[in-house]
Amino acid sequence: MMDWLARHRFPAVVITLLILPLGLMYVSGRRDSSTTLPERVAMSVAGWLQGVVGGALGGVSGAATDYVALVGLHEENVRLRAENERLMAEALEAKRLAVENQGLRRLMEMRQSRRDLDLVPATVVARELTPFFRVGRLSVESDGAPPQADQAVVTLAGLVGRVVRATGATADVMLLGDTRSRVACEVLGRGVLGMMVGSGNPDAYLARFQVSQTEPLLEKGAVIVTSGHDRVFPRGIEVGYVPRPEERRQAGPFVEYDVVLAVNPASLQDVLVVRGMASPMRPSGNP
Amino acid sequence: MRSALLLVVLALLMALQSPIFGLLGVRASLLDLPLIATLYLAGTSRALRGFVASAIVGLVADAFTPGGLLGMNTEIHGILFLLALGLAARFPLTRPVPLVLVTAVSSSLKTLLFYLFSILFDRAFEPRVEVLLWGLPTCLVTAVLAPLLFLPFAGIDRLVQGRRPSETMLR
Repeated sequence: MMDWLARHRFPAVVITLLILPLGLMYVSGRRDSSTTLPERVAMSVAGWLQGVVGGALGGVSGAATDYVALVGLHEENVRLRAENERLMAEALEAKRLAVENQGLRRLMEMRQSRRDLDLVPATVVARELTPFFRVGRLSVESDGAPPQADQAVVTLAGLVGRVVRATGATADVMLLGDTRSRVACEVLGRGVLGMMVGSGNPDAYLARFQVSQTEPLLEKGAVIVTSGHDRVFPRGIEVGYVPRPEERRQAGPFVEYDVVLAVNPASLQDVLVVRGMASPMRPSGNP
Repeated sequence: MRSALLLVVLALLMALQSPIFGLLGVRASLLDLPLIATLYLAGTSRALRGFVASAIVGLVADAFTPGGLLGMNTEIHGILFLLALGLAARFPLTRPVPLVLVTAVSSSLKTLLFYLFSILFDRAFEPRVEVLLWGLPTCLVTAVLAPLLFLPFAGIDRLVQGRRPSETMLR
């Protein structure tokens, strides 16, 4: 047996290493199951490294910018120009902090305004590295229970997506633009119910809103919000708007509208994860 | 030792990819670094060691790809290594033109394999033909930049073994 293995080592290893990933894919593909141990290990290591490297890169780029600026100053009046540069840098830093504070304050405002939701802040540490998915990775600053699959992710501007996989403080978030994304929605003020389906388009942050053919036609600028019927996304969070209702099309038994999403994920830094409903009158926990 | 260093460098590059491309305002998914690592291994390693290293390259790619199925890149990179190994016997991957062509072919095959495995294993996957087109920009950018992207890995060989697999690359 050992002789045979020694003689056929290459094909044996190839077959083994081609069959094992098929099993991993099968287990990982069962979306109803919780995050598996190999997924948790992979996410923890990669998420930690992405967080550390991202933080270090921010520091290095800041230091490099300062250094280049200082080299230029020596050509003329060193003291005065350095002073000027320092003040300018301080002003820019103050401005940057003001913008950051404004963003955080807005998140805080949302936390205050939606007291029915148990919200926890999170920072985006990585974005998709494949053209096929619209999924980002978050580092959640959780003081209580860690994030779990099927929790909603929001900003003040609207809905971002849902957690599809989580381990420790790291969570993978499927954005609304992903082709696999489904959100139960309604048209604000009209009560027209439908399903928001991700377009997957890598160049535009769009989704498709599918409504029954029996529903009345939507008008330009119709605002789409979550209906809460999927028991994943809380009701009333803005998702996007319909820019061109005249370009609607037939999709099986549905009428389909293009929707421009409210949140552009390209500029996202800080988000809020909905851990559940805070009000005892509303259903809590994950579906 | 060499393979371990290659994997560490790949993991670091992948961790850097998202924030650096974010600073530049470019989509990070335009560059397929794991594919380059696999082709480099196919062009410079022995079959068994290279295959195992390529499978681990795929595992690293799975870990750094939020939202994907764990094991998909492992499988794909194992298959791509075998393909590239066959191509490397006919076309020297240390020369720019063959490398660009082999990268383009491998990247296209990677997209097809992704589509196939997603249909087979990902219950939530919606099979639409346009998905295949989304891989096209990545295929083109990665193929054109492949000779440059080989350099970090060639640097490791120079460091560890004193080998110069890329010395003919930019002729």
